[in-house]
Amino acid sequence: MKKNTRLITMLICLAAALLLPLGISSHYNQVLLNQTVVYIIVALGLNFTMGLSGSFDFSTAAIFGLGSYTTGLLTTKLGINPWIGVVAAIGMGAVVGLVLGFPSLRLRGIYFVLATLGFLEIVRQLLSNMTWLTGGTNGVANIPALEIFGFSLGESRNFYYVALLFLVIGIAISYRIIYSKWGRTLIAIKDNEIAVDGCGIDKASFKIKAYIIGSCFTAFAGSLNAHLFQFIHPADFTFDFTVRFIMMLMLGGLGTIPGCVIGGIVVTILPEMLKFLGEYYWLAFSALMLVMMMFIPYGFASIPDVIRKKVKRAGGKD
Amino acid sequence: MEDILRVENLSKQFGGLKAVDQFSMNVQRNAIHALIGPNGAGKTTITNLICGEIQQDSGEILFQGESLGTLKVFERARKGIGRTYQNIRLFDTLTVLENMTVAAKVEHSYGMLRTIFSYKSSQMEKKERRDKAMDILKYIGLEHLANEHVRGLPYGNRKILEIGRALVTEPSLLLLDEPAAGLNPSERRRLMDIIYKIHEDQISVFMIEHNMDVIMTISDRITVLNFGKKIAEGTPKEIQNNEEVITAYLGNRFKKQGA
Ligand SMILES: Nc1ncnc2c1ncn2[C@@H]1O[C@H](COP(=O)(O)OP(=O)(O)OP(=O)(O)O)[C@@H](O)[C@H]1O
Ligand SMILES: [Mg+2]
Repeated sequence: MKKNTRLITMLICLAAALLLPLGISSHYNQVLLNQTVVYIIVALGLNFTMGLSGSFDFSTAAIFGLGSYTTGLLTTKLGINPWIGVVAAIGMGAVVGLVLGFPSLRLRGIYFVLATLGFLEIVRQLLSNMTWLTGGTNGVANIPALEIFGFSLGESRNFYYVALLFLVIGIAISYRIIYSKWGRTLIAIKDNEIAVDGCGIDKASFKIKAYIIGSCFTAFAGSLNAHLFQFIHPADFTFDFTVRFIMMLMLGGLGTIPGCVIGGIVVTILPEMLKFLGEYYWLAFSALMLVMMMFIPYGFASIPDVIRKKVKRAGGKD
Repeated sequence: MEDILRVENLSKQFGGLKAVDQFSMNVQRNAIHALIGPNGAGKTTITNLICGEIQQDSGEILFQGESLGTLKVFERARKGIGRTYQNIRLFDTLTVLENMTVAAKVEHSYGMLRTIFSYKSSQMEKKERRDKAMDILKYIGLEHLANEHVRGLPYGNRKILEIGRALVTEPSLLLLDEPAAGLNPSERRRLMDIIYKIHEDQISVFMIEHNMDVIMTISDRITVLNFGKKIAEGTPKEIQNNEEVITAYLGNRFKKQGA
């Protein structure tokens, strides 16, 4: 019964997502929508580390950036097929996840947080200063659009549908992981690390693999982003970009897939809707975030549960 | 009988405090072995040394004849040392069943990629974990709570569940740190039945406990600790009549419980 409700909800959301572009006339809004889909994929990636096992991870912007630059440089400098660039970006995500996660996730929690912070800064510096490779602060321009069966994804509605397909696959993978031993153990790690050790579980290996797959999601989304805008710039991949995704998870609900989706939508689209406030829009957005987090500390995804409990309590007597 | 655990001249100091001082002890296979002593005597510290949460300053711990050296906690657990904690450590946001499935030792344990891409494998592992977890939940009498969230569980059930979670890892030695603390008499009865069952299933039990009823009823052997040092060891009868133990620990206890 509950499983059916979930399936129906998912199908309705999917149908809405499929129909959504029909109601959008401006190019700007369609691109915003595309960006939202890409960002939700990142949120799903971050969810594996921060959402499930609960460790703060500031590397998102760096890994997203590396994914963007991997495909951006391969396609512009070597003329490689964009899809191969995308695959290479995923590989880059895996390598970074391993190289950064393997040493730091074996140590106490804080070392990983510091490693991701340090990495964020290193990547930013490298992207801006290794001019011979990255074009420095000029960024990388003229990145080709993706293409599929002769349809150019430079056309933003085409991009949307393909990205949406990737998002659905990303959600399916997330479900598999979250509801398997992997997800449950990562949550157990968040609940009580010492007890996880005591159960004979090599928790570091769980955290490392979660970080690697999360990094693959993020780098993949980064590469989509590069082909979406066809231009990338090092200043796009800084600390505040990371914070965006942390906000998405906190606002949507840590560790849950609906949380990633809702958080991704709200944090990407809400600031745009507030742009009429002129220079105060970011301030207003931050204030709104703060208020929402105060009133729904477990995020939007927790609202149905809260309501269910309230209803139960109200009718609990009989 | 053969020893499952040998502790030799174990010492551990915290700052200037000798929490464990040249402590030696053998736990026989299939025995229920109790460790008693006043608060702060170093009992929990000994448990933490055995399972590897902290490392000794000197001395050696041999499990099934093999030195544990600097093995990590999870490695020792895999070798067969299961434990519970003085302050319960459960996975509070998971359900009762999930607390068990996470810990379950299973034959088919698949990697992340296989879990993602093979529905069949992933379901098979899930089923094996669930079956195993349900078996142990039945064993400890908590199967009716399988889908409850742990956070809302009453204290007594939490303590019992923690034992179940240790059992599902298939330990050959189970370390229990004050399992009866905070339980009411009927829960205590249930606990003793479970410990007895565990004992009959050939799992060695090493138990720290303050409750003398429990200790004197079910243990085969008792070690008494005071200020990190072993002051006595023997059968319940021998310990009850040991002068030094009565002065250091038992005397006032029996008075308290007799009143
Ligand atoms: N990590 C630690 N750092 C510093 N001191 C510690 C640490 N762990 C234990 N101690 C000290 O070592 C001594 C022994 O502690 P332990 O917890 O082993 O006692 P216990 O016998 O289990 O007592 P209780 O019956 O109260 O549980 C105490 O004085 C305690 O304060
Ligand atoms: Mg103790």
